[in-house]
Amino acid sequence: MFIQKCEGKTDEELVRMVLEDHNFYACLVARYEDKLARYIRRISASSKEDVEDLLQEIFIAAYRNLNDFDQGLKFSSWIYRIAHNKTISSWRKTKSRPQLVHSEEAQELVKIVSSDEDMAKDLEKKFDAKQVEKILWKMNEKYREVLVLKFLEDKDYQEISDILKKPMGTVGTLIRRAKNHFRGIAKKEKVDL
Amino acid sequence: MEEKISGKILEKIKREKIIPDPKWKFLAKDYLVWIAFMVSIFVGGIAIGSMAFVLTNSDWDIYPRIGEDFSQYLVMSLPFFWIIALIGVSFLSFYNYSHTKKGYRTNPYIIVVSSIALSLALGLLFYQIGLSEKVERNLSRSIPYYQRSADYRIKIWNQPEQGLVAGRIVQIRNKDDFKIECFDGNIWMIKGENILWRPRAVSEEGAQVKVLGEAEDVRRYIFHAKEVRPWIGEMRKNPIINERMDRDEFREER
Repeated sequence: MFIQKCEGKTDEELVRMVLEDHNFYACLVARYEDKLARYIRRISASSKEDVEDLLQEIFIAAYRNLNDFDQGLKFSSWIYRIAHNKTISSWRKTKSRPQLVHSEEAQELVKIVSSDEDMAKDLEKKFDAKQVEKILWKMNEKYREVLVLKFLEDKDYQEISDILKKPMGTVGTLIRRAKNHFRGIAKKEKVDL
Repeated sequence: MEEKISGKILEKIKREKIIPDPKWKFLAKDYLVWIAFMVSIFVGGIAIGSMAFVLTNSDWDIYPRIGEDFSQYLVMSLPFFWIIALIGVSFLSFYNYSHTKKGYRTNPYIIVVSSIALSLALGLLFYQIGLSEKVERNLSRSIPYYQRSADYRIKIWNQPEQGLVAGRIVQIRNKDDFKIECFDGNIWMIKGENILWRPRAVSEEGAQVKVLGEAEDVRRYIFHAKEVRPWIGEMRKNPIINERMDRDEFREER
């Protein structure tokens, strides 16, 4: 019933509604649980149960801090920030390597980080998702996280800036360096981009 | 899974009676961070104002008169305490600003440069209104670092043969005729014609001053002065110099 009342409402309007009636929170959860679950799986080695537990933690934390949500920010950036921080802190305790990419995503990511000359030559080439993952996991965490947010989660620079709490200029620099870093590791690993 | 998760979350919210933290808590935190930022700018202003005051009162012009190693003179004259304080508060202002709600959006260099610029503006104001001098006078009474620097200055200004004496005014007839008691207890008669009294040098009994000129008669403690400057900070007996003087007097008597 509440989910129907939420149709057509923006996230920011929903936040205001939730603060008056917590039942509307189901709408926000429904909107973000799949996206956040996928993001959690990308950046941590969590099992299905662990993902659910983390999701619960994230949504409860978001609910508790709802009065801290700044309407000048996108709600998605705000909740992604909470998800990022909680997941990274949980992953750092286990340090196990998750599956970051699937085969279609691997193709997409390699196309993006390849240079323009390489792209024209190698459009037909197929890349093993495991190879790409291997490269990603050899990367410095700060480069890996911007690549994931930009190219796998499709976030723009402002959103990444708000999620990671870094200036936009720094985000741009990190993405540029991340691409170079990716190519450098690929070369060392003899992965032909 | 969709309804299950949201259902579980709503159930947990109801079961554990979880409510959103009140807005005032977040506002208080935001205000505290901003207040901390402003305090660090203010302290930065105090540091810069004090640095300006110390540098303009370091008597760089008298260095040629004395036989001191320049590097030691520089080390003793530079306001390292305030330089370190300024570096510290610059980091603090950067930290505090970047922890404001949208502070992370600003380039760190801009934050640091702007903080220093704000502190600089404040510091110059504090210097102009005399607050920096008050801070220096008060700190020189309580901080050990200042004692070391003060001892060095006492040593510099206890060279009547080089035309440098300092002490507390114990008697004053007029600005060209007064007496000072130096740190070693000796009373010097200061005489001159149209002695230049620098700003803030007070011509009253009890005031602490530095005097430049020429020792007319060391045995009779008569000093011909050209200029009087204010002495900033505590003036106390220096046991090392006193011991050296006692030894010199003992040798003379023998």
